[in-house]
Amino acid sequence: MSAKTHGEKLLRYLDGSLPDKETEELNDSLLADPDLKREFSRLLLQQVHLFDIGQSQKASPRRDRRRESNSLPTIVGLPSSWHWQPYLLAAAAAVAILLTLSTVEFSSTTPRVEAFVGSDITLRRDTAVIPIKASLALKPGDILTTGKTNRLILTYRRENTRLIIGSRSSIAILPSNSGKQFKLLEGRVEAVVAHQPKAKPMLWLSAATRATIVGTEFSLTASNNTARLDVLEGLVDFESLATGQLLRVNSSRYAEVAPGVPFELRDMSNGYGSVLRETWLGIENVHIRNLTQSSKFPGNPDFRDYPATLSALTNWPGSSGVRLRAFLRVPTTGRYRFWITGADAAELRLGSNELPESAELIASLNQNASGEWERFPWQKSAAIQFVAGRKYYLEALFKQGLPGAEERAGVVWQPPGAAREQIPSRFFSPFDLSIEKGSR
Amino acid sequence: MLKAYVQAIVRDLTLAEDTFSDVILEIVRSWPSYDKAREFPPWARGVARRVALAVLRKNSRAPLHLDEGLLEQIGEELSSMGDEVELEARKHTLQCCLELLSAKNRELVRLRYFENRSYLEIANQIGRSVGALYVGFNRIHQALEKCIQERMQSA
Repeated sequence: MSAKTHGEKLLRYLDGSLPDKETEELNDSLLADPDLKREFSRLLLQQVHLFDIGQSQKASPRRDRRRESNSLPTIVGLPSSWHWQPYLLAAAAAVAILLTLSTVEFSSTTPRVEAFVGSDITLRRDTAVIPIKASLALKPGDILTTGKTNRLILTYRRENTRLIIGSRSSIAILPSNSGKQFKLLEGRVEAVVAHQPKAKPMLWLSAATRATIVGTEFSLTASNNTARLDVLEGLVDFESLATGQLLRVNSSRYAEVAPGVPFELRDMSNGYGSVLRETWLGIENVHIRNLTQSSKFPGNPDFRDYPATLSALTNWPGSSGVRLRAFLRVPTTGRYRFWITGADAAELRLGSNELPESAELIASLNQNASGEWERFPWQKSAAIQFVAGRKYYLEALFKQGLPGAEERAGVVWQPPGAAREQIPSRFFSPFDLSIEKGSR
Repeated sequence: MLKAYVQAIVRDLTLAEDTFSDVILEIVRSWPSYDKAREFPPWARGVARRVALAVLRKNSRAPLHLDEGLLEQIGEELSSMGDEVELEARKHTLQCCLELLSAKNRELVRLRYFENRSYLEIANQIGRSVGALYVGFNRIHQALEKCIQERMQSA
């Protein structure tokens, strides 16, 4: 059988018009001939690519307008080549524009990678594994999986929506024409979602639940048969897929689906307007490194609480160390300045995004300032540019060597065009330890 | 290239496009059952094959298809044809090669793949037999493949 005949048979098979007997023969030929198998694969790829090229050209109204403006309707009866050449020219001229248009349309519903921590992140696209890199545009069908020490930030080009994928988590981007749709396969996602069109809300599915988001700040944790939704701000419709029951979860409340747990609204103990404060007692000496090099740091603090101010009580009856961790969100875009004060030693770090790994030292103290803000110049940070609506990781460490009487320790800021002040609690939320641990 | 793999089974480019979306949803739905110790591509192709065959049955369009073992070999062949970047480059090269076809052949490609016309419709429109069209398209695909190979080797 000649190669030509094989080629025609492949086309007929792919057209569904090859008789059964010849299909069986083709099957045998393909099994026996690696070259024919390769030819078939290349033909398949060509067909799919040609179809894609045609689809992308059809998707562009610009091409149609150009064709109309050239007054080149298809005239039945004329040789088809008469209108082909101008058509090709128009299409070729529009290719760059089409690609741009399709990219814009694409990026409005699919996110891109803004930043990530760790190297154990897998992106499965089609049947391939794609290396993760900053600015990588994701596509419907992509499945992202993070390892035990990884985290990932996804953002959108045209809106301030940010998704933080926790460690040991997997998400899938679902194909959808009606808004951004995801499935949390396992693990945890935390999100700040810009207002979405009501007809096209963001949708997060898990095995057990469906969360519909119009615009809010929330986190969702899921496994095969459990899910928990925490809403820091805004409103999310949360549905149990097993019972069909729907809950409207509002600010500082949460709900969970789990065996034996009632599906109901509950108040968060650590909602918006508080900071995670961890305290270690009995840590000797006066340096920050005495705290950070302690065997109890960071995993075993003596206390964890959620105060509503960025302050650390250091008048414990003995030496102590304190860590404050929060996400900061500023009211207006501009340059902000920070101060830190405390007893003996203190360090203030600020991230360029939500990830602790992005944090850098911006102010410090290695002598007792006892609640004063201007005793040493290094207590004060440079003016730092912030973008309104974004979240930034903030961490403050305090170390006190000896028992002190009512030593004041804390952090204040100076917003653009304003005086130094306590940071209002509405601009911060507590760091969530489950981001580091992957799940609750 | 999972979409090409789906096309090998359903043999209708529009149906392959729709089925590919179903495959993605099914992969996501079946994710908990995926044993992470196993290789992903064969598992994904298995899901795609199951979905595509179900679509064929649902559409009452089930002409005899290739053996599943052979389909798996073709899936492997498709996977070995390059990563996403290489496949995009191949598509771009194909677009360039289209311009080198004669006007008559470009029109045939447009009708079949851009306008999604059947061989019979095209045959009626241009006054040729369906058999002659298969011969013509076979030559077109071979010419395009030759052009792609030459350009990609010289790039």
